Amino acid sequence: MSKTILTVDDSDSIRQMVKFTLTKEGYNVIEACDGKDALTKVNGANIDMVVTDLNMPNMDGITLIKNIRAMAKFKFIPIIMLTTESQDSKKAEGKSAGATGWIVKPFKPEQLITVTKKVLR
Amino acid sequence: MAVDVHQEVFIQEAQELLEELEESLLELESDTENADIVARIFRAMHTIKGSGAMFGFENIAHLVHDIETAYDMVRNGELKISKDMLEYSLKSCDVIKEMLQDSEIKAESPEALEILNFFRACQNKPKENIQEKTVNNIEETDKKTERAYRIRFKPEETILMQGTNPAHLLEELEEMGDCKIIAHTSAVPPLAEMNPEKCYTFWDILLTTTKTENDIRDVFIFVEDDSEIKISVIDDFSTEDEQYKKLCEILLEKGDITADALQALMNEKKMLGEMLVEKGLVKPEAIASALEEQKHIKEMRTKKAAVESSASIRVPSEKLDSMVDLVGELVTVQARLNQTAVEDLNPELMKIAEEVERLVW
Repeated sequence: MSKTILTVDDSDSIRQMVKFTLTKEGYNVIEACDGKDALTKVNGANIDMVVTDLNMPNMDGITLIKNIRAMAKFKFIPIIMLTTESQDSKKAEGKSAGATGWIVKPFKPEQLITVTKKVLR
Repeated sequence: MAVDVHQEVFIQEAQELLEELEESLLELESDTENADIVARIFRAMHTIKGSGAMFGFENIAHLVHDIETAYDMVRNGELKISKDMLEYSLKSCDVIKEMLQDSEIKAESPEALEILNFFRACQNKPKENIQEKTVNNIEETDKKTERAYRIRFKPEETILMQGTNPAHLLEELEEMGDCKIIAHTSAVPPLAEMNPEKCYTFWDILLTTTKTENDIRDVFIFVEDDSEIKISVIDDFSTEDEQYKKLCEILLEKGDITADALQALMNEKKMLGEMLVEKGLVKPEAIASALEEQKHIKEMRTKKAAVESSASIRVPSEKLDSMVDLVGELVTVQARLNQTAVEDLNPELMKIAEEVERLVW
């Protein structure tokens, strides 16, 4: 069974790029446009990994990570946050919220694949 | 790569964001203290910058970076919205739109530079000078040399709750070369007191690889802040036949025992390892790990020597048989050639026949 990854970003283009890259690698990809949308989509779903942006309307990435980690089902799944270089303090904040790792924007599709293969074995 | 498709999506998205941005800026003009609007502006700038850089619009990303930073300062109350600021922000929207249409417009174009310098001044940052970017030459170390590394990886107890499985990291190291992993489990509490969601184990890893220390460090990139990670080179296989470190030297180097404690023991005449464990000075796993290190280095040295000494090569016997057959055929043909040359009394042919004879025998 192929693994399912949830991509959360308010930017259509980023989401599309993440989906395109990971689908080509054989993963199943679900999209959500912000934290709130993501929470309704993880409900009852089988998700093996989350890739989320931090700055989003309605519910930001940090709050989303905290919420997902609080669910028994997703206590140990890898969560990767997308940050920009200007958000170094966010990295620490994200980690303490329960994020596994990060990818710094801008990133290349290959970087996304490398990180995915690293945390999702 | 379907980059162009992504680029089109980005252009469309950026145009929508710019429209929103312009609206927000106009709203802000009449309500300069409204934090919601500032947050909206910041987010739009942030998305344009982040996505722009991803889809080949570095010029846009470069321009927006400083504007975004200025709005971040407004958001944090470090900067007040001014009329000029709004004007330059609106101007930047136009420039970005042009950049979306024509990727040839550089971030150093006069209009862009004017905007950039205004927002830099807001943050008290020096003006942008048009300068050539310095190219960093990354030093390439000799990638072929094999080294033996000793790695101690002591994760934070809560590592599993961060979504990292330490076993995956160990697997990654295993894929890098010849690897031995020793688990230290003495901190695991009795079952009744154990929290199964915590990680009580730490590991010593012996790795012989052509990879660099940085490559090894990269494996731990997401956990290095919270975990204890020590990486040291223990052998570079440059010296031959030298005795590898003694047990006590290894334990001292790794800080498993202090020099004083060791000295106090030196008078007794027993195997050092046994004594250390008996006295409870060192955990049995630490001894096992150090002994494993000696073994690993010895094995690696033997292996390396074996590789170097194999100047002769193995050939499958089938191949050898067929080569002997060919030589046989060659001899027969050469004899026939000789015979014909003599019979024909052709001096030119006899010369060739003699030459072939010399080559074959």
